[in-house]
Amino acid sequence: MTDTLFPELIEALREVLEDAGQDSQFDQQLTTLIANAYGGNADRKDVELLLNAVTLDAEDGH
Amino acid sequence: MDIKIKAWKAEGLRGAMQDFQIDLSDPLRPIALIQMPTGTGKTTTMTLLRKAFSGDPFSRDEVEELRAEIGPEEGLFELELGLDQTNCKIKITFDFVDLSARYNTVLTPGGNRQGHALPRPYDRLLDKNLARLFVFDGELAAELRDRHLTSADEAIDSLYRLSVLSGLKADADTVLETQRKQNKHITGQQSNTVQRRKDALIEAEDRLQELVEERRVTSLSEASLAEELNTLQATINDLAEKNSKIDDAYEVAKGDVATAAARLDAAHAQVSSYFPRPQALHPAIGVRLAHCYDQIEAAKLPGPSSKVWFDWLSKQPECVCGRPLTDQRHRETILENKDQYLGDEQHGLVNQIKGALKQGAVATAMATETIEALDEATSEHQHAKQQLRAAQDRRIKAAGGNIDTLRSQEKKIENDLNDAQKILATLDASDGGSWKDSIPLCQKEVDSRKEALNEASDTFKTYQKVKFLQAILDEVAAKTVEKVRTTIQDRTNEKLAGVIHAERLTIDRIDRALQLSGSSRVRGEVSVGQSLAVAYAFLTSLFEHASYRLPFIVDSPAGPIDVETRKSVSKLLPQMFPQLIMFVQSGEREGFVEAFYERNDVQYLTCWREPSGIRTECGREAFEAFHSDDDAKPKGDAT
Repeated sequence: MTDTLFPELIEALREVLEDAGQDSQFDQQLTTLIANAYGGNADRKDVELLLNAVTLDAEDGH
Repeated sequence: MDIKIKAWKAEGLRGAMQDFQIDLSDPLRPIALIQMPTGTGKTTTMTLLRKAFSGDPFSRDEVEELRAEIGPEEGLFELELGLDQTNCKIKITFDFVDLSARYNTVLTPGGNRQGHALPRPYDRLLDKNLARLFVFDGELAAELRDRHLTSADEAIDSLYRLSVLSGLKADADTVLETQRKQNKHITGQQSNTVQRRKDALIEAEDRLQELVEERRVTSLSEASLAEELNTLQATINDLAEKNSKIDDAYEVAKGDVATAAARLDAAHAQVSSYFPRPQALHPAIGVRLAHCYDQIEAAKLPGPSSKVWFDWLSKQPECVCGRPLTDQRHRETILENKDQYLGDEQHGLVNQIKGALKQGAVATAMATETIEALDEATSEHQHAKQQLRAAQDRRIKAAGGNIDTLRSQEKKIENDLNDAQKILATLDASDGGSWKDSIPLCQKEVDSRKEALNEASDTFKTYQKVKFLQAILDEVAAKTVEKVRTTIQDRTNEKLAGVIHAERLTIDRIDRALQLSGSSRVRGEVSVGQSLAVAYAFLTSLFEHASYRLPFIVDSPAGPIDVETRKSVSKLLPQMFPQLIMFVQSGEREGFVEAFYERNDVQYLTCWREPSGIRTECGREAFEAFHSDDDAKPKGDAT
């Protein structure tokens, strides 16, 4: 799935997702989206789907 | 992704490019050494290759430049590539009547396409900036080290395609904008509010752009002034050092500055030793931290149990209350709820914080003498520097130098530098002042106006999600750049150690440009050859672990490099690129070209001009025998 990505990006993504407080579905979707974008196969629809997977905290929006 | 050049040809173009073709399709010989004397179109070929890869449009002037003095109304440049299993011909047809150029792409399989239409993902990869890296532009070698430019960072951005992440951010904005437009249930009054808030947002966004641009320009000017000041001060120092017999007070003053600097360092170290005990710096900090300890105590943190304890409990035959744990569901409930408690590490950390806060309450206050010693050392250092400056001036004056002019230049640069730093401080200020003057405050204003707009247009939730996603993408990009910079810097330094033997040359950091170690490097004192070697070490490090394989095309790869370094470069380049195309001159044979004679994967091409056009001959014999009159002899390592 992450064939199109390079190690530094994968590591950065992992670190950021660890602190992002989202569920594993979001983590997976974002990783796939970035990998597809690097492979030239992502479009706005995929971003829209990912936005639907974002879980916002009721109080501060994060 | 594997990209290879198979051939190129030119027809009906200026000079030697009237009718010219090169075939590089032999897969067993990925290295091509092409000997083309000056005037046979090397520079034009390099430019056309860059354009063909990136699809960059031609200006009328650029087309005019390619027009033959007497020739047809049309010209052609065709680049044939292997894009993994796809054969791709990029054709550029020049119309010399209306001075235009149009691209055409032929894919096999895939057919004819109008324009520069590479298949995905190659179309996303091959842009103007990347083309400049692998169809290597000699000027880039100097730009990579120029701190006024951002070429090194741009090279990393291009090759690691961080623009992909910006593209996703832009897509998220488009999703939001689309949703905003689709919200049809808002009333007329709401619609007016939406328009008003939209205008307000545009005003803040425009101002933000202006401030960012002002910061960019001022930051470049600051770097340039700082360098100018360094150079001028180095000149003054050199002048003073030159006239060593004139004034002994200069040497004494130099010693005094060194002693004062050492005392200042010691005083700083003494003050810094209090930093891990902030309570000692000021009583108010102690009071706040004691309050923090009380709060932690009141919250009963870190709690009596850690989640490890619940793990243990779930495996026991009975609970601590004595009831048997026979039902599997009870064990599962214990495990499910264990996450409400801190883990061992967090438990330990909170206890450590508590311990430190408790101990801190009795920390000894920093002695007044420590601060006084720092003040005194600072004044003494200032005074010693003034004395040294006066001694320098006396020496230079006594030797007939015009120190007054130099000092007045220095003062002017210092004032300008000071002004630039003040502007930057205002632009970067995160509190106080108006949002119209500071980037962080203006960004806050933009965010707040965006929120207001999204509330009015009923897209607030989507806006928050977009903002969240964009923040994540920004963070990923920033962390990636940092990691890539470190990796590239380490790899480049490893290569430099193997390439340049005469002198230890290392990159201290990559920040916009490559910053080399050593004070002389700050003043740009590296030779043209060293500069080129640094560029090769950097670029090969960049390409080495990229997820795609690109050819490397270079004109005069070893021209200005000394013979010893040439040998290392001749070994480095073929290891790093799957295809290597080098335009060489006979002057580059010693140390460089001759190193390739030992290999059996090299194609030799020799081109020369004849009245009928350019003649090309393949093979090593013709290559070795050829010596053009305009070829330079091996150059020394010019600075």
